[in-house]
Amino acid sequence: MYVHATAPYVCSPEVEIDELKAELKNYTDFFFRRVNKFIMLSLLGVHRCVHGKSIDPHTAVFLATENGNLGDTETVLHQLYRENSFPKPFNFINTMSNTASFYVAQSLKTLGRSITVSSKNVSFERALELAMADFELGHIREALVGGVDEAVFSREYFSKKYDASYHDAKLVGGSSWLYLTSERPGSLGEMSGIRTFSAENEAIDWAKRTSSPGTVLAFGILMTPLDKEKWREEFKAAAGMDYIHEFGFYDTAAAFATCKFFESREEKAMIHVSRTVQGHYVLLSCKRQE
Amino acid sequence: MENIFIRGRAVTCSLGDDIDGIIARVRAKESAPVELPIRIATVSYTRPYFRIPGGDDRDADLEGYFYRVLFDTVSRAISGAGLSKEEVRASALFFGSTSIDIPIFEATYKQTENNGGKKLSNESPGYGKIINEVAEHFGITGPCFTFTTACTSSANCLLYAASLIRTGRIERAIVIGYDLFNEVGFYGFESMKLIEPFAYRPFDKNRIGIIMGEGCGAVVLDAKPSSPSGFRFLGGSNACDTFNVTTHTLEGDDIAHTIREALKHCGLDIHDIDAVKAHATGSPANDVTEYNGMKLAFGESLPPFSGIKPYIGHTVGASGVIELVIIIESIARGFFPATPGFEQVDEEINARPITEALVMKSGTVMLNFFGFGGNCSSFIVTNKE
Amino acid sequence: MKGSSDANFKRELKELIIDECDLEIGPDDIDDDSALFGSDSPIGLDSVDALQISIAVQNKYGAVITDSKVLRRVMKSINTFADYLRPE
Repeated sequence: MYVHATAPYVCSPEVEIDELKAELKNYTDFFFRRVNKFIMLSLLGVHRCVHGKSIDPHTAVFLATENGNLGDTETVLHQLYRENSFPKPFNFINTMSNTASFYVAQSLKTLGRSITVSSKNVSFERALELAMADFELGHIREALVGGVDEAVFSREYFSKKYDASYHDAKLVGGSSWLYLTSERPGSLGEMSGIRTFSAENEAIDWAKRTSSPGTVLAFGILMTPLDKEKWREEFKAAAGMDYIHEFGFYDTAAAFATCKFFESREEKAMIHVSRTVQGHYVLLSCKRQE
Repeated sequence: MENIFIRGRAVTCSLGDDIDGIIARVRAKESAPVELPIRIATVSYTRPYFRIPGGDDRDADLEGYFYRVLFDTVSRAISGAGLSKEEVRASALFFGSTSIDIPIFEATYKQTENNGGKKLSNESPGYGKIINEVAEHFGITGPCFTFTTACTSSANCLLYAASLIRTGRIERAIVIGYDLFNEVGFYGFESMKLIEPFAYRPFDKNRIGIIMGEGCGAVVLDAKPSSPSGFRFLGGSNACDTFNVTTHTLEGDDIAHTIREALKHCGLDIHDIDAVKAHATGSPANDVTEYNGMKLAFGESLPPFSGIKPYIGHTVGASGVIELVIIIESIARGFFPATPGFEQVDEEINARPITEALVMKSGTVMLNFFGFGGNCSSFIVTNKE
Repeated sequence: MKGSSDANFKRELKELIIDECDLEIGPDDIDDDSALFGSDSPIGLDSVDALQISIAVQNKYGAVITDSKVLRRVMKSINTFADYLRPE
């Protein structure tokens, strides 16, 4: 899977849908209505990624999200239980998170696969795995893979959910997308591997075999300061890429890290290390084109 | 192409959880919807729904009931597959659902007062939570995937579980489709005027709409067979029809495209398909579009086709796995099910689903699923040599 | 007063439609007599818009319209809709 365009994007948790809509108008003339914040966030992210590029009509869309359309589901629950109203059709339709990947496909005029996928704490990595399998089997030649989530609203719940202290990471919304194809020429680089390990030492071994001098490490939210210290020592690596500290956290922020790596044009390769709630390690490696 | 075997399978639906009993009732064209109340503001009437029998006390502990149905179904699929403890541990997990944990959040909403709070937004554990609970309950350490592509959710789970097995990323997957009754869906479909108030009758001239149902289905897809004569999952395809968020292109072009791609990926030709399990929701628009798509793809060679939602209701995101189990268990007992309720041909489309079961001991059959968000999925299974 | 004779009521309906259907126009852009739905309509609402509006008027005016054919007929234009909701 070769990377042909990337667009990292994060926004303030309080961002209004109209602000996103106004920003989206910089990238596309397509007219969107009846969409919510999650959908608008998805659209803005993907159009920032493909802006100025022509996209093959068979491009597949893989939208990774932890939480999906929280807003409209909440609205429908309020309509039913607080306002004694039937669900309003647009709110109801938008409770199904794949409406976001639908609007992405519609606005890009693609009719390829359209998948919305989630996997606790590693949604983006799992979406890439699905895309990778499709590429290998020759089912697709182009794909847009993105990680989209609205900001976590409650810091208290954040701590409970991740069984981790909130540190000093700020919570943001995000929508970061990669345009991938099977063609190496003209690419920014490649997504070279995704692997899952239940033992940390095996994960470290694989990462060492995969890395070369100049490989930067980046870490997911469940890696503690001690864990990170250990990995950095193993790799004799410098500070690494602390994107969560620098730009904020959203649930599929591994997509942001990956996009940011390709955008930064500094390091030659990156390995992103996520730990899952089950205690497994999911490693994502990507390399810049030499 | 490497084989992928459908090892264990289990289902819990309005016809119960005993597979022999379920298939006997399908053979006898029996179905048992119940009338559920619709009560909002000044409005009060009922609509039919296919409910899992028993569980009348479910509201007392909805979360407990939710996981009991889920774990019980998965557990029967695992024992049916004869998996060793180690095989279970190393399995990947796939979960497809339209409503995910909405039933549980509804219960919370009903029990709490209006405090203006954003309960779901603040406390959502994420779509991935349910399958992680399954992993923990059964001691499974493989990767977990949750698909939320509306009515094609668990059909897409099957497609991608097969692709990950085929590329050697995983050896085996437990694939689950699950949607439990929830008022967001029931009232939501009613507010879209999609619910059939009378009898379920896909493709019929007088069809009015969908009757929803709840259910859980689980299958084990494996690179290794448990018996030499079982069913194999050959593959399929997914595509997005971007015509409209709730309906597909009337002419059925994208549905035809999905069917053709499915055949291509399986290395098959239209003449290899012995029967088609249509999505057949019974909504006036879907049935037209779907039949047009089938005609475009199959032309004069359209095989016998049938819709099986009148037996168990439209189980939305769970329908992919549940309908697969019902189809293969029927074939394993010598027949391909008919479409009950179909009586009068709709001259506008002239679709004629089978009204009597086909005798079929072995066959290659296509199963199609379509949903909101333009999602189209099609896959093919066989028990032929 | 018949709904179609009440300019304020019609303005209220137009605002409801704009709000519910997420249209980027003002109430003055909707003609009282022109079609609300279909390809001949200047604003081109669709069947899901109709359903959305029907739930909104049910909540606001207590008017329950269960038959989608009736729905389409009464929502032909602002005037027909206003008269349906307020016949006299």
